[in-house]
Amino acid sequence: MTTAVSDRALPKVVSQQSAATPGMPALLIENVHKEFVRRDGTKVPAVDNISLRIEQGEFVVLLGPSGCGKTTLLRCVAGLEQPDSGTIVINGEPHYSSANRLNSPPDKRKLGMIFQSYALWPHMKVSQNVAYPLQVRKVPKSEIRDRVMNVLELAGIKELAEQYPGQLSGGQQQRVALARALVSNNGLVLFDEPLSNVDAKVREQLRFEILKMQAEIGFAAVYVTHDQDEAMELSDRIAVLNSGKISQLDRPEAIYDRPADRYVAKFVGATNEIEGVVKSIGADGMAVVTTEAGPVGGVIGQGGIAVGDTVCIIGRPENFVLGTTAPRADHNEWAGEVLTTMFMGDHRGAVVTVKGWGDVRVHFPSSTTSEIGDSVTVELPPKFARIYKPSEK
Amino acid sequence: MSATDVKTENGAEPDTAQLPDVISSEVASTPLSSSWSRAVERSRRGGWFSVLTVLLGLLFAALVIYPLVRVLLQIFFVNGKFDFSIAQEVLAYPDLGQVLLNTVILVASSMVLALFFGALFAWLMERTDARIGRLAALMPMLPMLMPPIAGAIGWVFLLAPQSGFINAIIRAVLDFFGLHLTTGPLNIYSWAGLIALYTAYQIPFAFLMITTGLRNSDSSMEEASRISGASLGKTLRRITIPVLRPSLGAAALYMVWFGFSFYSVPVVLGTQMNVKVLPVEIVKLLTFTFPANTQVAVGLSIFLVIAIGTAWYFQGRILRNNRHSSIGGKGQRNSVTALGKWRRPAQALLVLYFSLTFVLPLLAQALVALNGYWTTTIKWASLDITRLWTGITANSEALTAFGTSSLLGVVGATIGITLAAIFALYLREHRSRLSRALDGIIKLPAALSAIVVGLGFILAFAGPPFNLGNTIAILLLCYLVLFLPQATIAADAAAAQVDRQLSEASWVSGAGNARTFARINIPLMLPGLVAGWGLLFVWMTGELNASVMLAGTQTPVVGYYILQTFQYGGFATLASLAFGLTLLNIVVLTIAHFIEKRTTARSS
Repeated sequence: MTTAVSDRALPKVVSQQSAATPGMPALLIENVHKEFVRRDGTKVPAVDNISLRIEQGEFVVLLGPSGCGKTTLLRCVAGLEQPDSGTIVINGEPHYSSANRLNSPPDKRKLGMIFQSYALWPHMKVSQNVAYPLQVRKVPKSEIRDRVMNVLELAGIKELAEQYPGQLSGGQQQRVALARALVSNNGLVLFDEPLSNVDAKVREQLRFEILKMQAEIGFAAVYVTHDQDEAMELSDRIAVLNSGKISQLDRPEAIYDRPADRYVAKFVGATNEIEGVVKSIGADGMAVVTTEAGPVGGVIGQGGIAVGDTVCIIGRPENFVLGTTAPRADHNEWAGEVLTTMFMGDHRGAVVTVKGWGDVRVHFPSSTTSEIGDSVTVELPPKFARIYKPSEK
Repeated sequence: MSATDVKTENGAEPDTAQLPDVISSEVASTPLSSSWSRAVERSRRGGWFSVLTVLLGLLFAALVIYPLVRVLLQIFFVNGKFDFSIAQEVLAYPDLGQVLLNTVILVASSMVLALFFGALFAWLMERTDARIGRLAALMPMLPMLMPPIAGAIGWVFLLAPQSGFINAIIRAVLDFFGLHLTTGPLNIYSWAGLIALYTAYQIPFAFLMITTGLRNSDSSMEEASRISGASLGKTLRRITIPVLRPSLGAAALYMVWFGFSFYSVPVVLGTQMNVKVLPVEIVKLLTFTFPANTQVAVGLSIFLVIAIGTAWYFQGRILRNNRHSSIGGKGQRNSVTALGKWRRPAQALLVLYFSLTFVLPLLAQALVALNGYWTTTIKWASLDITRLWTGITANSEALTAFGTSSLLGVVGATIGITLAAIFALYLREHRSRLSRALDGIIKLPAALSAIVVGLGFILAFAGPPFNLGNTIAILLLCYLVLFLPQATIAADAAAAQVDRQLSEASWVSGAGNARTFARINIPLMLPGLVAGWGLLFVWMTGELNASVMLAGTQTPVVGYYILQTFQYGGFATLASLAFGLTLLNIVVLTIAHFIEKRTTARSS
């Protein structure tokens, strides 16, 4: 992309954004609550009193498994679902407020949205699809054409303008959807699992392009996904959702290195886990847990624990160290036998059978090797062993 | 996923006390009025288009309900007082027992025969190598291509004892062998003839529903049964028929509904034979009796409602007893049984059915029209092609009838399919109690007989204050009420083809409901809507049951005029009209089919 083009594209595409006063959040969600009623009459809170503040230009990912409420929350923001209670403010303008009986329809919210199925209108050409939000908002015809071509160029699909969506590949359709969402919005774009329908290679490419366009145009984004890699790569902050609640809202590094609870730890990245009973608690936020594999030292996770609590200790495969020297007792070192090994390109993986732990997954550099049946020592440095209450599922 | 349900349930939640008005008025047990005002409030939020939709829905609901209320009032009240004397009058109706018995015999016998042949044809087409692709697609359309009134006339031309063409040919052949007959040997004016024509017109429905059932069931279930050691017959008895029970039930229900209000065939044949059946008697009391005996006509129609209601009840039981509704094998091509030496005879049977119900009657109509009068001694040299249409064009009344029907077809089908599309989308996006009630009311006429609906329209709109008797308006409104259920089925299917996210993307882009409807939904639903339009047109131009009561000399429609011409003679015009109507249907359905195909190809 040449700078000349994007310079020309920028002011028009982002024109509405300049209205935003500094410091005003792009999206403010306060105590939004929505329940669904199952067929048997029981109520399920899909979104359970969630509050969330997204700054201008910020990229926030809602991460969670299917049924955690992330899509419902996104659709509430778009106005496609109506919450039961709460407040939704977009760029300082309230659009839903149960207290004021306010619920503006989706066409008044001035958002960009990318749907899971892309939702490109098959009877319109690419240029017509992208022009639609502008036509609807009564932008002068002469301006529409320029803005459409600019945003198509930005998305790298200018040459597809006269094609129908049915003639495009998945990745191209995705770009059209992106262009349509970006062509006219007030600086907030919603993504509803947009990359779940394209294959891995294209997905990676598109993630990169979404980031690039965000850097160029500077929109705020709410991005729903169940793919933790996607979340890590795209986000400024991640909100991990569990049963309609935000379990943790933080930068990706923090989520990964210091998960708030066992649920987040297990959902974000691979884990090894062992149960035990808290033996002693140190002053430095460390504790020792008695397990079947002997005493294990680790860092106390959020929520706190007491001596005698049943807890579980979680360690990530890449934090385990594989050695050949004999294990030292009380040093989080254990003897094990290599069950299988896997070559994974940039690293190797092994499953090591350790008494008490069971099967432990360990990652180590590709340069070192390990054979099936090798007797090895596995170490989990205490600073990487995190202790959680098991009830925090 | 209904926002309404959730909201309603939420009203009972204690922790929502701080959100007073919206929610507390929506406790599950609120009276209907509150749920209506809520719906209006919601639709107001959806913009003027939603308001328009709801208003149209309410207007239409009134159009359905009011005539039916008038029918009920007519039954129970005389001169404003509750009175059940109508029961005595109805029960004293001459030959009532005979009328009911005739009707039941005709419906029941033709139902059994049609189920048998329909299932056989469906099986041959779906599961064996006797399949004839084009015919399979055409078979369910036969009653629409040639409306029963035209078909019945065609069969009279073929099998009348004196001058029926087939009889003449048979007599000529017998003559060759030294056997001289002056009439017969076959006679369409007989119980056999009646039952045969009832059956012929029922088979397509059975075929359609059983075909659908076969398509939705996995043929590997039958294969598993064969591998388990069951014979073909045992497999049929233990697996195929039980699996198809819902389809068979649906077909049987439809036949009861259709058979009890089937008017054209019995009025053409039965009148000559002096075999009285229920729908013909009702219409006779209303239209061909002076002064019209509305009271008893309405009373007799109760029997129609009872018969159809009973059928609905059993249909419901079949569906309830059937817990294996989700049957696997979706999308896969079912395996095909090779019939071997039976393949040709089976195909011959299919072609024979097609010839008997369509080709031969059409030829007979054409022949009578070409000849200018009906005789078995055809002078082939003097056949005149122009007579095909002069039968219509030379007769100003016939021409008016043809024009009126075509106009009603075009206007009615266009309004009908547009309404159906609007309602289908509204119902898809709003699952409130109001929308469900509207849905039920719109589909209600499908559960009633056209005879009853027509009766209701006379009572409700013919006289003051509406004074719509003998106008095109009353016919148009009645057609809309009668055929909107079918139109919504077509529109529902079309709407189901359009992903909801396509509408949502339009809303998020800033378009309201009206614009989304015009620019996204309608273009995408177009193929299905065009097909639906074609069917509506054909149904409306060929409508007879209600038209015969509602049409008058000012507003003749084709079906009504064909019937009149049949009763007073004029076979050339009759043949020309029947042929013209069939031809019109074929042309319209073919064009609709091609437009449908083209628009589908473009947008997919």
